[in-house]
Amino acid sequence: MGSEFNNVADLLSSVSDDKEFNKSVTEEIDAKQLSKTLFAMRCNAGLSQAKVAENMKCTQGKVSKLENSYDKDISIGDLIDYCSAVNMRIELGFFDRKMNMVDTIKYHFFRLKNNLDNLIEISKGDAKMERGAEKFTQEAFMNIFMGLIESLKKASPKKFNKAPLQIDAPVTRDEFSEVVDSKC
Amino acid sequence: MWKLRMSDFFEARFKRFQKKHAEEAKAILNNLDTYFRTLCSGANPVNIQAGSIHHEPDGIKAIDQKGGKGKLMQSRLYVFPETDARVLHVISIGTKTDQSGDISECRDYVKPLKQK
Repeated sequence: MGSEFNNVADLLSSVSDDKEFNKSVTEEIDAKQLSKTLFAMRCNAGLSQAKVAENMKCTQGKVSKLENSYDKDISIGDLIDYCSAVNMRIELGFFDRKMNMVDTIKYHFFRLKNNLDNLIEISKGDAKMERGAEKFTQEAFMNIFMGLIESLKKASPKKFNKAPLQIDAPVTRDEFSEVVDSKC
Repeated sequence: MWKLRMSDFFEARFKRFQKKHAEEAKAILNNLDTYFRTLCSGANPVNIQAGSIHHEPDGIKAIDQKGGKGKLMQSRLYVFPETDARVLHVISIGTKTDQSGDISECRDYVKPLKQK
């Protein structure tokens, strides 16, 4: 079986000793992240370049050019038009360069919490929407909690794998809520 | 997440090709990167359509050098997306003049994969 790689840059360093060449290829790839993303979005939407051009009211040549552009050559206007044509919304974020990975995780947690709180807020006054928001919040809680447990196991595997059998006293929902509230 | 897997003869082919056609190799690798990232984003190989991607027999795709700088020689990198295993086989590379021989070799490579 042949060697496997996660990306083209790794495959290239395996087959080519020419460091200059390899560097120029990875620089080219890195300079076109946005145009590659546009291409991927169009393919995921199952649209041809011709269809996107029709939606953008431009030529197919322009769409092809955008999908091969260097990121710095793509205007915000073209980005907006292209995303609209493939039924996508743009979200721009600005981050302090000093932000580290821990800060990024905290940022995403608070965004998630804000979005959930907004969902609950807009559902108020409509009984059906309130029930839906409550159900979704409970599901989100379980999914996020289970996901975090998996991360915790990876972070401290010894603690989790200490004993083959661990029996804890039953925890009521109220006791659990108290613990969660004290941490938030 | 998809993986890239080289054929056993790809390295030798690539080294030979890169020596003679460096700019073409650079452009082709950039197009391969775009194709691979699109697979990783969840797109169905059937929906990945672009001027640089040519559909050959037996599900083989040929990626060309479009988008590269200057007047480049017509070239092809042959890949096969093994969808069930999420593996993109990177099989061979050559100029268009070697196309029929290359495609025949790729079809032989792909045969046991399609029988799985």
